[in-house]
Amino acid sequence: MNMKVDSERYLSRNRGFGLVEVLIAMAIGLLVALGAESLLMVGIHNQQATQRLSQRQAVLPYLADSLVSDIRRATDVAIENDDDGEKVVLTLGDGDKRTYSWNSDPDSENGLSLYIDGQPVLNGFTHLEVPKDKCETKANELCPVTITFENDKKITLVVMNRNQFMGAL
Amino acid sequence: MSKGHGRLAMKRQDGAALIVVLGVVALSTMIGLASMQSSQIDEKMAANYTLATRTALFAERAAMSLVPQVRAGTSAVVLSSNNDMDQGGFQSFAAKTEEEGSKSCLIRGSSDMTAAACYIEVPDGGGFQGQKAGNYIVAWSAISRGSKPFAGQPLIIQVEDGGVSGGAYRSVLLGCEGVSLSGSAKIDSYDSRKGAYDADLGKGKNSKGTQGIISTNADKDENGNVTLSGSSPIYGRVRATGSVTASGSASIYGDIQANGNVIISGGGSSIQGNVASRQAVRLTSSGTIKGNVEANTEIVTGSWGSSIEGNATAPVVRTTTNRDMEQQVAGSIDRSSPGVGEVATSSCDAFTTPDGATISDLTDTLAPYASSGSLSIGGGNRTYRLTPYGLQVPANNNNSVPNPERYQVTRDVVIDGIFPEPTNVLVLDSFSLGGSANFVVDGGDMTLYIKGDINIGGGATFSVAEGSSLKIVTDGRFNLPSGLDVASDRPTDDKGNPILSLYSTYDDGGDSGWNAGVNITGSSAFKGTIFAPYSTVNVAGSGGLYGAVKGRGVEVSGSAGIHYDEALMGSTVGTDGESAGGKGSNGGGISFTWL
Repeated sequence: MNMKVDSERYLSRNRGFGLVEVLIAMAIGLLVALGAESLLMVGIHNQQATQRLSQRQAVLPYLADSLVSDIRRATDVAIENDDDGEKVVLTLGDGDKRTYSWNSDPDSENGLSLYIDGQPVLNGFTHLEVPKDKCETKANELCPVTITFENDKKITLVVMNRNQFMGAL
Repeated sequence: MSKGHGRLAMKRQDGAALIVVLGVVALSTMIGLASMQSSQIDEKMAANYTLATRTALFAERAAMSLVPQVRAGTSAVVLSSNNDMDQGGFQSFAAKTEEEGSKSCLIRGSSDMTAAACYIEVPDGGGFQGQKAGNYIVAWSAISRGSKPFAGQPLIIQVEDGGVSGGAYRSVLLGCEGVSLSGSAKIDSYDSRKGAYDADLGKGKNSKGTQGIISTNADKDENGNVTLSGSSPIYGRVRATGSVTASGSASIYGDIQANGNVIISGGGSSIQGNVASRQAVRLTSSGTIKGNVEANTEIVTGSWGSSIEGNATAPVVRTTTNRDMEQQVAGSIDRSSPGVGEVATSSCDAFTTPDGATISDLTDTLAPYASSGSLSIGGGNRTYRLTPYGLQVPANNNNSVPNPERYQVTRDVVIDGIFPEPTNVLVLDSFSLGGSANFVVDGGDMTLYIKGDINIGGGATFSVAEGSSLKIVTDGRFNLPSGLDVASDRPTDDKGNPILSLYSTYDDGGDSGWNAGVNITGSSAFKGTIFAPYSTVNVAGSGGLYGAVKGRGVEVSGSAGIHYDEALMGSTVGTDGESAGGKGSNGGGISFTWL
């Protein structure tokens, strides 16, 4: 009896893992770790996508609120091209003038920068197009303002100058 | 016990994987939560932006619904003194104003949005949203959303009256070279869209207004004078490029603005509005000016009884009496130049648009159509009917009009840039109507182009049937000692265009009285408009005039009133929608600027 207890204790103290046990444990562990890792990657990817979208969402309303609504209410729209890039010179109803210009900023990895009256206000877009033949006041047409984001994602906001519209009534 | 020991060992082995996996899962949960949070914020921002855009567009819609009223000459309201008005305050102000029957404000609603729009006047020294004095359309909209509604930004549109001088029908009496009023009739305005003149609109209101503007627009110094010697009141403004002389005893319920002197010499006359002159203002009588007086050279009172109840502003403010100037001016006296602006001049022969067609463009367009000869109708009480299909004579014609089939009407003539709709043209060498014949224009819109004189006299009647309209274009004199009736109660149609209109290119050399190129001396009312840039228009009839007159000179000596129809301010005659262009080219040159 005593002998049996002894031998049992000995056995249990020296017992290791069988090869099969270890392999199975490793395989299960690997699977779980891989699953968790891919979960992590999906999370990171989603977060990046959200960030991109939220940046786009920050750029678009800003442009719509400033450039597009100013084109809407301006009494005169003039578009100029010079060495520094493109310029939209707007004369507003109260007589103020406002200049929007944009060009690529060498310090920024986020593409173009938008300047209002020379002050940088916005970046995060790769291209901005305000067609001269349609957007100038004398064109008397709908003005499509196209903003391009990375991955060549384009969004066009169409504006009609209200003063012009009223004048043509 | 030994079994338990073994299990413990196994657990320790499993723990490593568990901890690693737990760590990774926690990390990815954190990343997931962070991006969820930021997308939640984005979603809220987008929702707010949607609300802001919706309110802005809805406010714009409300503002646009107000534009026709503003063009039609609705007067601006002054906001209550609360300058820090919020959306709710503005809305209740607008609701109250609309409730009172004013057309200056309106409320628009949809399922979850409300918008209020008002045509407001910001007075000097007042302020609304930081805007300087002037007239504005303000629209403000809100979306109901849970407990707290979302209020958008107010939309502000500046409204500028581009000057009355360009309008063919903006002034009740526009005499390019001068206006002379000596009749005893009152001059006022009414809105025929609300009801007939004198109609009772309930609540003690009627359709009458004070839009009867009397103006001149000559660009020469010696011309453009307004002489008021009548004895009846004028409900409206007086704007003159020359001087204004008021020697009558009548009151003027409006402002006077002149480039020349303003001389008020009528005893007991009173001016209810302000008086402004680029030269001097002389109050030589015992009259009263209730408003402010501004003059760029001097203000002189010449009678012990003259009084100015408002402020007096001029480099020189003096009196020729032995009374103190301070006793004659109830307001303050400011001895500096007020810098009174100029009353604009404009082309006399142009239609409504300053850069638009002139009256000679009208005759040039009509000139190629062959004349059907002269038409002379007389004889007994029979009815002759002119329709787009020709002239219909009564069966027992008695040879008064032989061969009526020779009067050929050219149908659907487009007169580009002047008349908004095609018209049916009959060209005649001359036209006379006498005896006791009746002449009726019926069946649509007719244009009578008469190269010679027009005489409508005797006991004859000339009328325009209900639903029809008549334009008379003449190169000769127009004499109307008889009646020219319009069957409709209103001088204008639904678009504000006159039902009866007279366009005269006759040059009378500036003659007056009975020698004037256009003579309205009938005893029945003349409902319509007269445009005669080279002739004096003499209104001496006793039946009154409902409409507007623009002539080289205007003389009114009749005893019946001259009543401007405010609906004419919406007239599209003379504008061609697209091609006329220009800033707010119709409605009397009112322009709208988005701020």
